[in-house]
Amino acid sequence: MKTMQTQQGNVLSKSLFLIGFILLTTILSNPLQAQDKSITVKGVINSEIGPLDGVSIYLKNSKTGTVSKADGSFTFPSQLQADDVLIFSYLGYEKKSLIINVTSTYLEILMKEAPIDVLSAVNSNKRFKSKRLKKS
Amino acid sequence: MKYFYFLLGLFLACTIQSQAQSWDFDAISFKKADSLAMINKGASLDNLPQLTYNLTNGLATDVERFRAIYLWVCTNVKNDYNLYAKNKRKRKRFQEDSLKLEAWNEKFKKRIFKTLLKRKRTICTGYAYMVKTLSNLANIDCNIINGFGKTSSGNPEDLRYPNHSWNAVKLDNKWYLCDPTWASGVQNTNNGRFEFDYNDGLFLASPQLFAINHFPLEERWFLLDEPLLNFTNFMEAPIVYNEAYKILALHQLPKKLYNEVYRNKTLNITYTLKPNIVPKTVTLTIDDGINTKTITPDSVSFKDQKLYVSHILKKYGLFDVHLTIDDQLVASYVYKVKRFN
Repeated sequence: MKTMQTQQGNVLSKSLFLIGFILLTTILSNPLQAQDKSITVKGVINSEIGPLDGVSIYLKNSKTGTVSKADGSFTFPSQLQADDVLIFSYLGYEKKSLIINVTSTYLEILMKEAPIDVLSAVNSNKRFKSKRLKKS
Repeated sequence: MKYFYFLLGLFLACTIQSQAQSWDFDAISFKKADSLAMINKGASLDNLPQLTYNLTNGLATDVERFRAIYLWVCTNVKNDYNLYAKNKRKRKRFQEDSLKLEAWNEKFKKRIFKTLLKRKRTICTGYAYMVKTLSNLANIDCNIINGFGKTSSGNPEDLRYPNHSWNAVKLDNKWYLCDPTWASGVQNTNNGRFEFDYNDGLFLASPQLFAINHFPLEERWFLLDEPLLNFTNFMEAPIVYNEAYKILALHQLPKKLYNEVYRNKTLNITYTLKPNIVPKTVTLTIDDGINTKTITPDSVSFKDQKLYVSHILKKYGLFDVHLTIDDQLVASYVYKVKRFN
């Protein structure tokens, strides 16, 4: 009889410890959760000539990303956190990067054309030939 | 006196160290980077971040990441001769009219990017732009350098206005030079077709050799403490071919393309070759305007990576002299040999 009681007491204290542990973990992890608030990022991408489609939008140092639609709009496929960096890239335009904060739920991005001079020199492996005066 | 030698030694050590070229990375194998460039052959330019990720994922160092990007651009983007010819014509026409030139540039820029995106064809600026953009997406500092490129046509007309773009890239806190356009392949000038023929010599090329046919608009992009040449010297410099970049580290002599000497004078050629290069055959091809013959020079010596070639010019006349090392056309010079002293 005595042994039974001890066993019951053991089970009780064990479950109390478990409940306490779960409670403690929940309490402790709460502030962390508040810090890690996920942000859904949507937005539209414009240029001087109107909305830009096909702009690549991706999370820096990752493979996660999306492409803007014909009207320039986009919804980032995964939830972001504050201080994440989004990169916007499109051929012929300057790359743009943006640090996400809690208020960045709707982004209006203006892409600027890359300021470049179009130059070209074609080289060949054809042997050089000097110009000679023609003998008449 | 001791101090003088010490300082001289220190100075030499510093200057030697400040030279930035491909063999700084001889210890690194590019096998993995090169295979990533090969695996992604034919990839589209629709999603540049994705492409950058695919090219660089799993590579440990910036130089490997840059290598994969550079090699991919060189082996996947074609040089468009029609675009080149059109741009050249227009720029020539508008060279005195800056407003029209700017308007043309704006218009042409759009076309360039469209052609690049849809057909992966471009001209120099497009190559340099692709290398820069993909590198920047991989967090590598890389710039487009505009300036004058001296081609094997040797036509001084081509150097009246800036005509070429290439790249400078910062790796391990040092700037390096490369020319993706010229490394990509060669234009068959007869049929206008472009043929891929990757030339590794233009990857992180030696700045001294680079300066012989690349004159940047901004002096600092020579990446030399002092420019080797001013613009006049650059115009007068010998013709150095793309193949030379595979073999030479430095072109020392002759300094000029056009030379005048008297009969029985010796033509002297001096180069410093890249580390690990040992030349097997050195030949001169001499063209007098009618006949061309290939000969072995009177004397060839090779010591401490320096190659000395000398040949006595016995006949008078005007000669185009082409130097070839191991079947690679390296450089051309013109000698006017006069009869009397």
